[in-house]
Amino acid sequence: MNNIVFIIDIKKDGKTKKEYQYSIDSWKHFCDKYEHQLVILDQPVVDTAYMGVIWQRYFLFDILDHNEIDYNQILIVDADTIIHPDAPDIFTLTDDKYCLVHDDGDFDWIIRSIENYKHHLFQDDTMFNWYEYFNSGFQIVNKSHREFFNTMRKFYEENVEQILWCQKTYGVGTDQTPLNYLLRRENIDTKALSYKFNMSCMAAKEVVNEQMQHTEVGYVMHFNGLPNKDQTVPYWMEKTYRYLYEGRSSR
Amino acid sequence: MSKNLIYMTAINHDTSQYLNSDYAQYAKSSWQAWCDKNDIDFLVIDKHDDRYKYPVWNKDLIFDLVGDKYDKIGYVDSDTMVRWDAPNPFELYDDEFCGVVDRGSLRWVLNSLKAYSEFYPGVEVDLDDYINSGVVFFTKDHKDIYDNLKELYQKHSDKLDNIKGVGKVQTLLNLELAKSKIKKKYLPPVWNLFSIHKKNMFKHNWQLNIDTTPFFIKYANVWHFTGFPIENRTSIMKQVWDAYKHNYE
Repeated sequence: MNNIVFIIDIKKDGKTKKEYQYSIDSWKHFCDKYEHQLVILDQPVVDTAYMGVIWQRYFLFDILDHNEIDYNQILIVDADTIIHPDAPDIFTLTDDKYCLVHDDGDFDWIIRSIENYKHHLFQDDTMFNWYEYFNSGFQIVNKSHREFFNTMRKFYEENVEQILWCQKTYGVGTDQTPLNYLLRRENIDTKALSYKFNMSCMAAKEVVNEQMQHTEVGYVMHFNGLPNKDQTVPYWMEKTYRYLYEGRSSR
Repeated sequence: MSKNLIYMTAINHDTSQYLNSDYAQYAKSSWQAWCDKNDIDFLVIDKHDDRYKYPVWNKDLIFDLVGDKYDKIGYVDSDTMVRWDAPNPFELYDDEFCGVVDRGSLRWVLNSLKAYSEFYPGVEVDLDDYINSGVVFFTKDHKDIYDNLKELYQKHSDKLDNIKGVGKVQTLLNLELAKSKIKKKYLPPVWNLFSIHKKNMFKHNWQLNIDTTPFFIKYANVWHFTGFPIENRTSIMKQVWDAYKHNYE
């Protein structure tokens, strides 16, 4: 049955980010290679003033139903990622579990996020280990997780004011920390995949460089956490895509 | 059942840019107190063996010094400190070789593997398996690993001593472990919290401001003061010791 790669690329002010096309093209290559289907969400499901686009990924199952897309497993992946052309078929690694990758980046941000959300929204939940905090930019789910996505949305609807206040006041993320708490609260059977499948905060690991060493490290390069992101993210995504898929540097 | 051992190399040597004892005093104080509390022997290798050019290699001599006296052994660098109430790591493993995966600088790891690969032809280390050698735990059955590393140095000391900028013993240990197909266990980073500044864990939660304890103190068992300019090491370790030494008494 069909496996889906799902990417959100919603226009903001009438435009999408040019570099996201490199992400989409790389994932298209992956889907063609392994006969999966690429689905792009380019229109918000609900008003973004009520719910930011990131939270809207939890409408995934309704979007697929609405478009009459049949599916087995679905990878939801951020549009600031590029997959390596030599990546294995990720869907074979899941054991039919909810798969994510532990975030390995700025732990000041992560720990503040864990502590702040607990203080305001998850007072009765148990704290979890900071090094077991999942990045929400790469999630593999299947039909059995439909109910959990409803839980995510219900949590948002019931706590929208507090969530938006936390996002604005602390700047420690949108869905990611609630996702981490709710996965544990709901006892979802998760599988942590290797860092190679969601290489977050590569700059801190000193591996994004003109020698293109980031392309030697793993399979899914996530261009988050780069300094001067407005310049560096487009630069590195274009350069990486061209290096891997066109065999030449953009500069 | 015999006791377990923690050991450290802490040697002042003319090849070192900074006097080891300046910062190692804090490492030793914390580990000594913690070992006493947990009924674990603590050994400091403070004499340099002249077979080696650089003191870092002395850690490979552990079995020459203790033989098979200890079932389980932990090695800790002299720029580490243990939290006063850390649990006993020897209860975390059976017969595996244990360490914490190191992604502190993947550039450095890639370059280091490239530099040392000639000594291990055909051996590959997966980056998911590459551990930091500054804190490792093993058993007396791992003697062969250290014997092989000693032999490697004997054979290639000139070449090995001339490799610069990509570490000395860490990558060789990883290559040796890969070659020997040793069963490994990866401990969570709380057991060797290196690159604390890059992890941004010297900070506390300044937003809630309920608890001003720095994250590394609050959320890790072994603090490894490396990955930042070495000239800051002594001062940081001293500050930590001065702030928390009462907990070790």
